This record gives sequence, C-alpha cells and structure tokens, in this order.
Amino acid sequence: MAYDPSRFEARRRAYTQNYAASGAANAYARMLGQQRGARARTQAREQYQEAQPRLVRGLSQRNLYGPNVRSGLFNRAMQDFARQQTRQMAEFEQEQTAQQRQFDLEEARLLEQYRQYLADLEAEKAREISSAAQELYAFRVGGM
Amino acid sequence: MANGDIRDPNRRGVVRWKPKVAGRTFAPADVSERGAETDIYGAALGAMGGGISGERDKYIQENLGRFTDPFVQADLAYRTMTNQRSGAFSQPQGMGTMDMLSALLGMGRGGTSTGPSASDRLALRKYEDERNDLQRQREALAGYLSSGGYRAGSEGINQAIMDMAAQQRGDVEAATGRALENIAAGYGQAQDLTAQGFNALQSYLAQNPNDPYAQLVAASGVAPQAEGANILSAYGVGAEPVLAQVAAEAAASQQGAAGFQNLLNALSAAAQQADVSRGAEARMAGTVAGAGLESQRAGYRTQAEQAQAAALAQIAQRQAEAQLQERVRLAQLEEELRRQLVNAGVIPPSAPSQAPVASGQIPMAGQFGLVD
Repeated sequence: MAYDPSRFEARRRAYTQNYAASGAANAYARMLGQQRGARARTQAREQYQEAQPRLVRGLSQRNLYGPNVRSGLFNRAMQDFARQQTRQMAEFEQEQTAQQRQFDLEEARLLEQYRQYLADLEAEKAREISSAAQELYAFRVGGM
Repeated sequence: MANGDIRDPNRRGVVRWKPKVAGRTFAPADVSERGAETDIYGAALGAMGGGISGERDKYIQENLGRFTDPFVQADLAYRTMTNQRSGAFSQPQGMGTMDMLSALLGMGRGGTSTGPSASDRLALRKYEDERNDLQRQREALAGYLSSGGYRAGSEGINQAIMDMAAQQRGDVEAATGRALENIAAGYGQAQDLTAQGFNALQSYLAQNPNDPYAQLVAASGVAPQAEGANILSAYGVGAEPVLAQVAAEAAASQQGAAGFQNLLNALSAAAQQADVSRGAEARMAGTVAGAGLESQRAGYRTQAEQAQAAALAQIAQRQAEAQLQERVRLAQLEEELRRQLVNAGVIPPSAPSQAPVASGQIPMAGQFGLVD
C-alpha cells in the first residue's frame, strides 16, 4: 500500500479529539466531585454546630453541667462529640482526596493512552514509509 | 583364360568385322592381322556400348593400347573420348588424348580413303570445343575447391554471426548495466526514505516521553482540623482526645498518600519501560528495514546477473549453432564439389579428403591428381 500521510493525520486528529473529550469529562467530573465533597463537608459541619448546643442543654437538664456543676460525664460527652466531629470531617477530606486522586490518575491514564496512540501512529507511519520505499524500489527495478 | 574367349588377344579369325565410322567403311589392309585386333576391339566396343565393369573393364583398358591398326585406334579414340565426356569410360593406358586425336584425324589413311571428310573435321572441331569447355569447367571447379573460393561467402557469414553475437552481448551488457544502475539508485532512494521514517519516529519518541505519572505527586490532602476543640476549651474541657484523633487522621492521610505514590511510581516505571521498549523496537525496526532493503538489493542484483548470464549463454549457444550450421553447409558444399570432380575424372574416387573445413587448409591443385 502506498504511503498516505492524510490517513495518519486523520487518525491523529481523532485521537486528539478523543483525548480532549475524555480529559474534559474527567476534569468536569473532578470539579463535580469537589463540589459534592465541599457541600457534604459544609453540611456536616453545620449539623455539628447545630447539635453542639443541644448536647450541652441536654446534659444541663440532667444536671450534668451547670453553674458550679462540672461532671466527668459532661467532659467525656463533650470530648466524644468533638472527636467524632473531627473524625468525620477528616473522613470527608480523605474521601475527597482519594476521589481527586482517582481523577488525577484517570487524567494521567488518558494522557498516557493518548501518547501511546500517537507513538503507535508514528511507528506505523515509519513502517509504512519503509514498506512504501520497498515497493517503490521494486517498481524502480522493474518488478523483478 | 580359356581358348575361344572373346577377350583373348591371340585369338584370330573368329570375328570378321568391318566397322563404319561416320558412314564410311574401312577395308583392312591385312585381314589376317586385323582379325585379331578387331576381335578384341569388338569385345571392347561391346563393353563400352553396353557398359563395362569388373574384370572385363580392366582387361579391355589394359589391352586397348596394344592396337596398331589406324582404324581401330581412330575409332577407339573417338569412342573413348565420347565415353570419357560422360564419365563412362577412361582413357586407354599408354594412349594420350592427342594420340587419340591424331589417330582420329588420320584414320583411313591405310585404307581406301585418303583423309577425313569435312563433316569429320567439323565433328572433330565440335568435339574439341566441347572438350575444352569441359576442361575449363573442371579446372574452374578444381580451382574453386583448391583456392577455397567456395569458403569466401562462409567467412562473411561467420563474421556476420560473430558480429551479431557481439552486438547482442553488448545489448545484454548494456541492459544489465542499466538494471544494476536502477538497482543501486533505487536502493539509495529506498534507504533514504526508510531512514527518514525511522529517524522521525525516534526523534518523536525522544521528544515525547510517555510517562505522565512522573508528573503526579500524591498530596496528603488537607490536614485534619481539630474540629470543636475550641468549644471544649470554652467549657473548660480538655482537648487531648481530639488532638489524638487529629494525629490519627493525619497519619491515615499520610498512609493513603504514600500508597497512592507507590501506585504512581509503579505506573511510571511501567510507562518508562514501555518507552524504552518502544525506542528499542523503533531502532530494531529501522535496522531490520535497512537489512531488508540490502537483501532486496542483493536479490535484485543476483537476478539481474543471472538473467545476464542466461542471456549470454543463449547468445553463445545460438552463435555456436549458427557456426555449426555454416560448417556443415561448407562441408556439404565441399563434398559436392569433390563428388563433381570425381565424376568428371579430375580426382580419383579414392582420394582422401583433405578436410579443409576442419583444418582450415585448402588442398592444392596437384593433390587432386588431374589427368591430362
């Protein structure tokens, strides 16, 4: 088959377009993931902020906390509350970080695949040039 | 030889014969003497007239020279010459052509006639002219053979055959030269194209290393906050458990980052390995393509040289065949010439062939044993 560079350019455009679309979709998904994570974290923080006064009020109604009242049970309840909030917020962060890593990894994979395709294309082009050179050589010597 | 045999020259008086030559009757002077001669002579005439062969032929030829009778000699001379022209009978021993002519001119001087008539002399003149013509033809044939004249055209044909073969060899050499030039030039072009293609590939691979994982860094993420710790201090509650939780979460985050970094490192190493492999593949492909072109060139050259050798061999074969045909034709021509000369009595039948064709030597005139 005679060497036809236009075929390779068409494939190169297709690869680039596919990579751009995939990368854009990945970036968009990443952005959405960030949005969702931030929203969930904010909601969780608001819930904790709203729950904290109710916790103090309840302990106070049970005479575990008040003026001149300081029980160990109150201290333990407040520490558990703060520790749980800290853990849950950290989990939100870690989950979002892991999600962002997945998007990074996907982006790297898409880029690697795109470059792989382009390298394959260049290798195929070189082989086709070589094959065309051999055919031209055969034509030149009279198809012996 | 038995008595009474007609070939016995001593036998007398058996046959009385008065021959007629050109319508004239000769009367023997001495009948008894001539009886014996005419006896033998009659036998000879009978032999010549009906064709002679074997011992009789030999006997008659050996004894014809013994005749002394002018009439017998004259008649014998005439008949002998006539037969000699046709190749049916040879000249008697001891009797030259001029002797026979003299005998013929003087016949009848011992008889009743006083000399040859005008018609006899005319016949004799005609005979002499014809004989001279024959002699000239024989000499021409002998000269044609001995001088190698019959080979003149053949040399031209041989030269034409060699010229044609040389021309064809030149054409084949030229065609082969053009083919080899095309093979060499085509190889150069193909090699350039192939080298350009693979050089471009290697250049592209060198400029575009495919390792996107090397650019990624596994960030540990946002450091965990001591959420609600400030509230604890407001209530006078110690924050130690919360801080411990923060430390634990930070450690977990670091572990996650390290794990992700390990994954990135593995993927990066694989990508780099793939790059190295691809580069080696490209170089090897270029080397193989170059070797393929060289093999192709060698194959084309071999084919061209084989075609040249086959064409030259065919030319040589055709040349040899043509030359052989010409030699055969020459040999046949020479044989035909010899046969005609033998038939004309110029050379004896038993004369060995001088084989001038094979040896390239032309026999000289004396080798043909020309008679008279």
